[in-house]
Amino acid sequence: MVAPKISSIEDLKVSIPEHAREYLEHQLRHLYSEQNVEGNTMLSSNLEAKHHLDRILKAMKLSPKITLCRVNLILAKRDDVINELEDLLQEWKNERLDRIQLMKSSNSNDGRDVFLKICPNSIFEDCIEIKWCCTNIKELNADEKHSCKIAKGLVLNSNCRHPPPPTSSHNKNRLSSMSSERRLKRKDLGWPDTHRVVICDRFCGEAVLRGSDIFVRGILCADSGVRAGEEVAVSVKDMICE
Amino acid sequence: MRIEYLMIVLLTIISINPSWQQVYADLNENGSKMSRGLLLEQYNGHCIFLGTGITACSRAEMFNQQQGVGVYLSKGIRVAQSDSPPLNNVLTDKMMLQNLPSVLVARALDPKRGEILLDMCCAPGGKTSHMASIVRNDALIVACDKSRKKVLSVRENLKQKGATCVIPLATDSTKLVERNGSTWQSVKEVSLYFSKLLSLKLFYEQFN
Repeated sequence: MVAPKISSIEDLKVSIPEHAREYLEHQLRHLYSEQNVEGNTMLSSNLEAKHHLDRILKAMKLSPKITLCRVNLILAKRDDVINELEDLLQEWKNERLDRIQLMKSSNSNDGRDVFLKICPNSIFEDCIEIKWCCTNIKELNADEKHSCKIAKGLVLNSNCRHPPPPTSSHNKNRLSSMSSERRLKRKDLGWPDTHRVVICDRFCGEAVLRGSDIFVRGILCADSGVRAGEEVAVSVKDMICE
Repeated sequence: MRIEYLMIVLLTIISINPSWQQVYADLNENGSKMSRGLLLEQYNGHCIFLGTGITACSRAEMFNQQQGVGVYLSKGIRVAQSDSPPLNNVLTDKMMLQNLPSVLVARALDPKRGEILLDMCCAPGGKTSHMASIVRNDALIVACDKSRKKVLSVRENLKQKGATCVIPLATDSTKLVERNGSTWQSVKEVSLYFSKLLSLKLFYEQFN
């Protein structure tokens, strides 16, 4: 039996055709040569442009740090939509905060508090930002501007290849229903022994990276015995890697 | 009434898009077109870990049903830069998720009330509805797209958002405008021509 290859998003490389790469680097080179005329050799501006493009390509693999919603001014006002979003996301937010609290108590507490901020975008008058911020408890009374920094919320690092231990004891019981022979076999193939696994197709994977849930049509492969309400590990079928 | 034509040329977006598709596009080159419903042990390809989620249905239902959510990633922990809120089908008439670069396009165009606007490549309709929103429905927006199927979904989308000032047209916009008696050959040709006039204000004066 052939074992699958399991990679992390860190291993994934966004590849673009050579001519597109050249074109984009050329545009960025302008940016650096204009910015820094004195003492900047051609070579270093080329290098700067290359690094800049690499940073962009790297950022394209992950969802944005801030979720942006544009309000339809024909039917609604921005402030009303902000209030509605506050209500609609309340339940989700509380569930996330509870989990963050749980993880904090198991790790060392660094004294910082995370909160979800739904606020108007400062440049576009019809846009709303949704982002996680963190604040130092000691600074809570200080000017909000200084205390508010963008945080990640509850996420995994891009070099993760396996799920963290399940968040509910329920999952442990579910996995123990699997025969020990099968568990060993799965482990030999490299699959996690804490979660059942679901594999989605690449279009679905792209949507997931943009913050979507997985719809049944996008699922290619699932572990036998998957039931509703179970925590599963999700992978996406082959993408181009370094 | 003075008729002014404005066009949106999405030059930057056109040049970025191919790279994004490339990530996922070439994947069937090894001929591994996979059918749905395999067992995990049968899978021997290459995959990338995305995170954990809570299943919404059983394995059998995942492969029997034609629609619906299979796994809630928003209830698990995903690999991401930030934990994004579940906004699928939320307030779809009053707002939409739109990334900053897309928001910038209609803002750069800066449409005014009473103008006539031509959107040459409108699907899925996000930027078109943004223009309608900026002018509060007080303009005439002709929104074209080559694909009839896409225009139908744009029409539904705009109807839901109350953007009654938009007329969706299933047509190739490069054939709408004549130049020296001949039509434009491609959107690229149109955008290259107008990119010389990249300042949108200048662009706009051309048609006064």
